[in-house]
Amino acid sequence: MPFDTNHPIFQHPIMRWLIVVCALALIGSFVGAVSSWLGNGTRGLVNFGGVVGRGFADLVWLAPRRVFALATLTTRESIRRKALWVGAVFLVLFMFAGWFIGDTSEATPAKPYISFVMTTIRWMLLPVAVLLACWGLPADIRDRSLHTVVTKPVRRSEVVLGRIGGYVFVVSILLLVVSAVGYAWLLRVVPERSQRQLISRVPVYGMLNMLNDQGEQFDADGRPYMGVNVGDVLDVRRFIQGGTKERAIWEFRGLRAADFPADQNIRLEYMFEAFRSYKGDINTQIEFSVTLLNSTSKLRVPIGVLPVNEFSSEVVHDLVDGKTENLISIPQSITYREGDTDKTVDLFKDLVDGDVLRLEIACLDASQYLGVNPYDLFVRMPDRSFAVGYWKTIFAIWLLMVLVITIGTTASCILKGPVATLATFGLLILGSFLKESLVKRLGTYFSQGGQVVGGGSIEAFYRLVTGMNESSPLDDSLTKRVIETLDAGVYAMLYLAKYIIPDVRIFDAAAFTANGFDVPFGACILPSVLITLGFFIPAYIIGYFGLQVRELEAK
Amino acid sequence: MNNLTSGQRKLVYGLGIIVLMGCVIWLGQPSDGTLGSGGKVSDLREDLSLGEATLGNVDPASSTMNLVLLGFRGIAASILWSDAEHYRATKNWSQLQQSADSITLLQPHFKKVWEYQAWNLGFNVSAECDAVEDRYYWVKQGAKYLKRGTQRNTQFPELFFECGRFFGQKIGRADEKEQFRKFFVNDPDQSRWKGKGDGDVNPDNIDNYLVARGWYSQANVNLEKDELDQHKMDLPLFWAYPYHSLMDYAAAREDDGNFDADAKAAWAKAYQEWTDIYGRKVFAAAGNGTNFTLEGSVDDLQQLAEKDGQDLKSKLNWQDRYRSTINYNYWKDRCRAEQEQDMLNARRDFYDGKRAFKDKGDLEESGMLLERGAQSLQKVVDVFGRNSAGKSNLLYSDQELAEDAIKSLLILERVREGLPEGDYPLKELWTDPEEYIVSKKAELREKFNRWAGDN
Repeated sequence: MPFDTNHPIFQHPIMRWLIVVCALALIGSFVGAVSSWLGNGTRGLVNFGGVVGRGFADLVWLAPRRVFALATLTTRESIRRKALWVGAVFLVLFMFAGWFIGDTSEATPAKPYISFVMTTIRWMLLPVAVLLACWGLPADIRDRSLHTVVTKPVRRSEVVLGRIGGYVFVVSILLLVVSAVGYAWLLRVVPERSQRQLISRVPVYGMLNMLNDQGEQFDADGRPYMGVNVGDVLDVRRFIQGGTKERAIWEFRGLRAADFPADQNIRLEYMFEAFRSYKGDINTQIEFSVTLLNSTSKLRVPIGVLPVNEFSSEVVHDLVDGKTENLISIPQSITYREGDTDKTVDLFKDLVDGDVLRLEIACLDASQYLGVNPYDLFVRMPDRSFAVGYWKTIFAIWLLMVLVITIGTTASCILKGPVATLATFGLLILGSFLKESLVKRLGTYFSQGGQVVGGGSIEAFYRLVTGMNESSPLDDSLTKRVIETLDAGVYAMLYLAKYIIPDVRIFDAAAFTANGFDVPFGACILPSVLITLGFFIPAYIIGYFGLQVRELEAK
Repeated sequence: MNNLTSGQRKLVYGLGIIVLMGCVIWLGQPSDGTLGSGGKVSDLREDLSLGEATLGNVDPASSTMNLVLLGFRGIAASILWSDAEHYRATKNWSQLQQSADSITLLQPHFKKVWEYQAWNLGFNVSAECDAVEDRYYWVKQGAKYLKRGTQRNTQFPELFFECGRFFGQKIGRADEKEQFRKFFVNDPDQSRWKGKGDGDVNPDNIDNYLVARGWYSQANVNLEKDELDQHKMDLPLFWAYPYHSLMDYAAAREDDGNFDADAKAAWAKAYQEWTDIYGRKVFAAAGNGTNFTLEGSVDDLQQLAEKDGQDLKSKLNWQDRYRSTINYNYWKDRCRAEQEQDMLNARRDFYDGKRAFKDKGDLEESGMLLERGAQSLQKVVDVFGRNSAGKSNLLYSDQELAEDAIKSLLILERVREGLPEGDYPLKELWTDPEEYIVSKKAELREKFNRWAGDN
């Protein structure tokens, strides 16, 4: 193990960010100092110190008027380069979108339409943002038009900020226009029957516990009961057996009466799965009962019996009982029958225990199974309009654009246009598609004490040239030790590198909107803002120093 | 360096360009739609039926996707296949369907994609749902997918055949066949189809077997064009499906309790087509290419032998083998028997007798109907004669009919508290000591007890 990745200091995101920024600063300072010393000896070191000192002042003391002027200049230049033309391409795509969505009958759900709009906006504007940001400065340097700027009393940090601001403004205008068009298009083309799917549901998820056939949550060894797998390849859901004491119990926390209108029922939405161990009556669905529990007062209130309606919500047609959604509706004042008497209880006073609502699900059909996972049941707070979720998703895309422009502009301060484009695209692709597998691979490596099948890149190369398969052990020799040490170094570098690759998937809120959910602040918007800020600050500093030391005469 | 001047070099380049352009025009000139009007490649495309338009409807989305992806179509298709498998494993059906649709945009003429993914939707996804209505929805999605496949590939006989199988076997023979057949003409999505079947799969709102028959027939038409072969089964078996569909239609109507003139007419038409059209079709034996017809008499085959110069004995031999493989005589006899008024009466009485027993609990009426039905069936059995062992040609060749008869006798036995000692209709079947009949009786008795609610 090269270092302890489980150390508490690595666990806090802000600490991790600070460590990475400081490490980068140290590496940059070291490289700068050494290269200055090698170039000009002690005078070089003095110059380097001067640049760093001046840099701190330049980075902090900014004139908003000059930044605004530079941003305006950048905007004009982008418009002159016909960046807005991409909007026209976007409109053409929308005109022919129906071709690509396939079955455009009135039974088509809203999901493919929403996904199409979001994907198109995202992947149409990202290349524009990358190309604008990566080619602007190098083109100005090549045309020497940057001279007219840098010879004025303007700081290089203001140039970097002005550039970023200008590009962000142009892309924001584009994003606003295409999003508005996309929104109007969605309202127009989504079939009438699917319009009800254009909503923003606000879910409150709970914690799921299961009881075994003895009605106990833990076995003799203290392990929690997790239900059974009925033969699925992936454990998407675990199953409880019907006609036994097996139960699925959800605990919803933080529910307050004030969050619900007094005259409305509390709605819970479900999407359970059924598994039949024998055919049974095919005309009757597997059913489950719903009971509310108060663990403190031991009160149990039956709510009712419902059909599982398995996978019905995947399609647009009405459910079997004429409803359109799988909802458990609970009145705030519940009347139920116990023995021969009718009783009435108040949901929030009598059943919500502290701020916890417990709900028990039991499969009623003997020897049949009900499949559940924690996200299969949620309290559905009052819905928000589709526009709320839609514009939040657009905001997340905007943050991604800001991030890409920031990285691209920074790269263009140091590199030439094509190289900066490659670097930015590379980072984007890594963050979009490869970071997940990289993190998984690193997780396997570190959790298994440095032992993974086939080894790291050096070991893999060694096996390749020697014709060894990946499972044969290497001979215990000096070669093996050298390879493992080198691989440990590579993995350590990758471990650090994963923090430099932005997790672009976080910015993708389209799945929420397409599935009819509001975009959660904590799981999407806040991390997106933090990632953007987290990259903006070091990128701004690097961009400034990059432009400061760059030879602007070189074409 | 050569000694050519700049002007001479330009002249050489110009000549080279003209020569190459000539070649390109000769090879690649597009056709204006008439044969031979295009370049060599266009002619070859026409000859080999490889043009987009000759393969089926041109889908602009598909063409655009393939164009935009340049050479990455294979990679994109592989990713989509992988996505589709992932969505299947995670039970994300609507996205599985979208992936399947996208794959066909990239690989519109890859027959297996249509077959495999239609099966995935219509059989695998359908089976995952608990509500019969939802199962039917996914069966329809599979059928619609396959139907789109036939529109993009108008020449594949197998895709049309698979469509026939969807409408015939999936809807007509699944565990949920009773509901599926009703849904086929009265879709559960009432708000959309308003008491009729889904117009995308059943535009004429007719029985599923008749729709299946149309698809099977089109598969045969495609085969007759002799452009693409089928690789599913021996040709005489493949060819029989439209005719079987008509029989299935007639039998299903009776199973549904419709003993009207339509059912009788369907059996009559099935007999006529089976013997006059299918039975007269000249097939080549898979073994050695011997030509024969299934219905042809010795004289007919003799004439055929004189015409094609093949051996009569070989023809008779192959005819016999194929008749046996196809069960040709059984279906012929069945079509003939089912047209008899006595057979129709027997089936009606059996059906009503069972309903009277199970639904109304009217044992007297049930007994009367079943006895009358058995008498009618006995008359038909007598008409069709007996073999050398003295056994009924009809009952012992038609397993389904024999089972129906035993089921009715089981109910009758319960209603009358035993069958009489003396003679009674269908006694030859009921008292037959042959092991197959005895075990079948025991099996049906067990099922009957469950059906009657005894255990």
